[in-house]
Amino acid sequence: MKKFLWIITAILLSSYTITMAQDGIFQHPSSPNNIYIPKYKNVNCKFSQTKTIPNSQAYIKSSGNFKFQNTNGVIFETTYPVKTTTSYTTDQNNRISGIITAVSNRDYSYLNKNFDLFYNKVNSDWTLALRPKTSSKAHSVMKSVIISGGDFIKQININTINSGDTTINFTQCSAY
Amino acid sequence: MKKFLRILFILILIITGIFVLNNPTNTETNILKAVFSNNTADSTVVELSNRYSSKINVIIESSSAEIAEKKAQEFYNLIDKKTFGIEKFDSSKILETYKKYNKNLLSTYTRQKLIKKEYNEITSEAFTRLYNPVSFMLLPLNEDPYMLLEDYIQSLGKDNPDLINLNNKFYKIIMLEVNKSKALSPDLLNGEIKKLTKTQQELSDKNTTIYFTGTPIHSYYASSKAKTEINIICLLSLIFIIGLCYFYFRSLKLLAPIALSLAIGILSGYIAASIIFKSIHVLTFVFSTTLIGICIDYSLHYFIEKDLSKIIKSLTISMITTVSAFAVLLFSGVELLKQIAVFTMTGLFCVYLIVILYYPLINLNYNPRKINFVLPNKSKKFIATIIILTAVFGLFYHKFDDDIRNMYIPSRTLLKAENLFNELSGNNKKTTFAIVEGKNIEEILQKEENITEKLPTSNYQALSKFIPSKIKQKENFELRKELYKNTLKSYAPFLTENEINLLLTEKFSDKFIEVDNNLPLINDFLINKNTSVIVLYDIKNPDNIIKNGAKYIDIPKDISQRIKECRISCVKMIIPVFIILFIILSIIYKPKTALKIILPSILAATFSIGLLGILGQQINLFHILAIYLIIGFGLDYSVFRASCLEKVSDAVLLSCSTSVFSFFLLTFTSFKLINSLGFILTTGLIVSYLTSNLFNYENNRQEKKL
Repeated sequence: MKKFLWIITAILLSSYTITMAQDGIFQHPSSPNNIYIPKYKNVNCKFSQTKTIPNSQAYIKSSGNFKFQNTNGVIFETTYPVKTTTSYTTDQNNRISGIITAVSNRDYSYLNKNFDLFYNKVNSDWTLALRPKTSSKAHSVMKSVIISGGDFIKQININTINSGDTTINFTQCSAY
Repeated sequence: MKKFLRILFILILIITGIFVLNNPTNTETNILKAVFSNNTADSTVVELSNRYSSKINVIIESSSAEIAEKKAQEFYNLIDKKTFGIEKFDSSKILETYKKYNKNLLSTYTRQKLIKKEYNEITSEAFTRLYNPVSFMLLPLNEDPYMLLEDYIQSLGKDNPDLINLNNKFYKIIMLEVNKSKALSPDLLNGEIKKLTKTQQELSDKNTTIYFTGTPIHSYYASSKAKTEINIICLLSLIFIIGLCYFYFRSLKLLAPIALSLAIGILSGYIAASIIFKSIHVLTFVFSTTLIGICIDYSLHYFIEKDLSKIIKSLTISMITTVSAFAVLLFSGVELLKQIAVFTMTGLFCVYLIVILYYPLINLNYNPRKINFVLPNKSKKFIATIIILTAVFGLFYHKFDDDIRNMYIPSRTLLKAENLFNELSGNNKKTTFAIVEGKNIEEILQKEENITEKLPTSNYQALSKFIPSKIKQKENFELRKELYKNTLKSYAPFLTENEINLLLTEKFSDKFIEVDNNLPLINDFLINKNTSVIVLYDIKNPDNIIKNGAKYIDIPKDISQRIKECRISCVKMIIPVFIILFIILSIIYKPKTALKIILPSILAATFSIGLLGILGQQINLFHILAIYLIIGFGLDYSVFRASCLEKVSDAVLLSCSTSVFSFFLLTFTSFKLINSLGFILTTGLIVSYLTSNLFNYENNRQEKKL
């Protein structure tokens, strides 16, 4: 029972820390010149995502494999609860894959044009937050995107206007 | 009488000149407008071509994504916003409308599945959308649990990407829409595009390359090149004439009246074309530089003979036959050729008037050489054999080419840019159009839906794709409701019972998405309130489109078909033209002499076509039209030879050499249409000259007078 309580306490604390960290990032407005993120070419990870549904207690959870290839784009291979592969090649315009590609290519001009940037770095861990500018296409659907990582991207948190929040966690990442 | 005519000529020239000065005509640089006119019966082709000819695509290429973005922003900051607007699709406006009426909307694919009641597939696809980590819900799940609005929007086609990564290079595309007022003034537009090219040079460096595509860019480069070519041809022609005067007349005094007659000839041609046509195509100016070569003939004949009475008959017949040959171009149905005809006919007639009205007033002392070139008899047989063999054998190898796309070959740089743009935008499909007419928008939308019903959605863009007809909107609502009835309870455990009940009991509100001019896209598809256009991609069989009452338009094919019809009618007219000319000449001369006069032209025409066949060159409309010009010029040489004047041999040689030189220069011009004419006219005139040497006209001295 004690062990269980410790686990619950640890989960609550870490959730609180993450939430605080996420809110805190908007205290750090930044410009492209001050942002440093490791440049990735090809990365493989496991992902798990949780989507909240507005006005509902239900969650939508899924997980699978994530691949980022600098030249080809972003691939989400969902293995649970349905098997499906969603790929966004570099010439397609999906907002999230576009952001991932822009971050990986250090295309801060693109990010700066479309988003207000917020950045914070503690040791090797960094957090980049993007809030769509009113002129951006993303403004009508997205509130903010918070990307955090170290050597690799660890988490993406997407806050939308109508469709709740999505958190994508990346684990077991390896570059090749 | 002559005095009165002299004053009248000057007065007409001054009055019309002042009129044109006060009502200046635009210079047309659009390549397509060279080959079809706004007066054409198929005005929709013109309308569609205009619609798609005012866009410029700017492609910024860099090895760095950030540099590409920066340069694109710099480029945008530097362009004149009054001239170039950025083509921006305001998706937010239409998205709000779609959200409001989402239950009336279904993608074609989903609609077909729902009609067939394939609910398992629909739910399976809805799960895929639901669990997609990077998908967005445009509406809360309790309003659209199957995310059918996302499915509908995805079916409309992909949005323009912000940045494209291709072969390790990053590309940014800026689509510029030329302001309508500037698009109507090619001179102004070319000035603005010149500024764009300067910006292009300023921003290009080792890391960045900027490409341009689009009709205005092609027009700019073609017209800039044409202007340079006009200057070079004029300069070389003048140098040739100065050299000729100095060599033959051993005097440069003649240059003044010759230059003045040429200037007035070109000016009068310009005035006539300005009065008759709304705009003059830049290629008309290119071709009309050959007026120098033609107009100088009359001056040369006069200054060689020094007696107007000796040459007046030949000069008049020559003028009439040449003007008649150019007059045939008026019936070609090709705007450019009509302009060339008016420009050249007026110029020729005015130079003729100058020679007969003013030259006798000039008193100059000069001592011309005497060349008196005569072909040896042995050479005559050899030349005759070669000409006849080429004409006969060549006719077996001839092939026709009426494809408009082969008439203009862009530069390598422009071609590379066009290919790159097609690759980046995925726009390398063959585009055709369907024109739909209806009494009102609802009828148009229903007709469009019938036409596109069996087409894959990627094969067309139409207004009805973005705004379905009211009938379809209601059907979509009912189909969706059937889906809910059959699957919602098992599909959506994430919804509360109350939310599920609300969805199941919802009734159609009788409210529809209406065609509203404020919505984006509307003006892209509506030509007017009763006509819409469907843009089709890679359509192999347009039968279903035509069966449903639409007009199918394949612009290059339609223009090529018109060119083919025009070529066939021009070919059919050749023999009647020869017969008419023979009758006219038989009235003026004896039939035997008329035959001698007309034969060189027939030989020159058949030789030229035969030579094209032997060389493997495909014969186009413009080669056929050149035959008429060869007839006109060829007749001149024979008509003057038939006058049997003492120095006529020199006069014909000199006039032929000036004409041949001008046309020879045209073969080096970049526009295929013009260099086609240049090549065939050069060979045709040389053969006309040589064949006019084959006949002896000495026996015709006692023939009838004009």
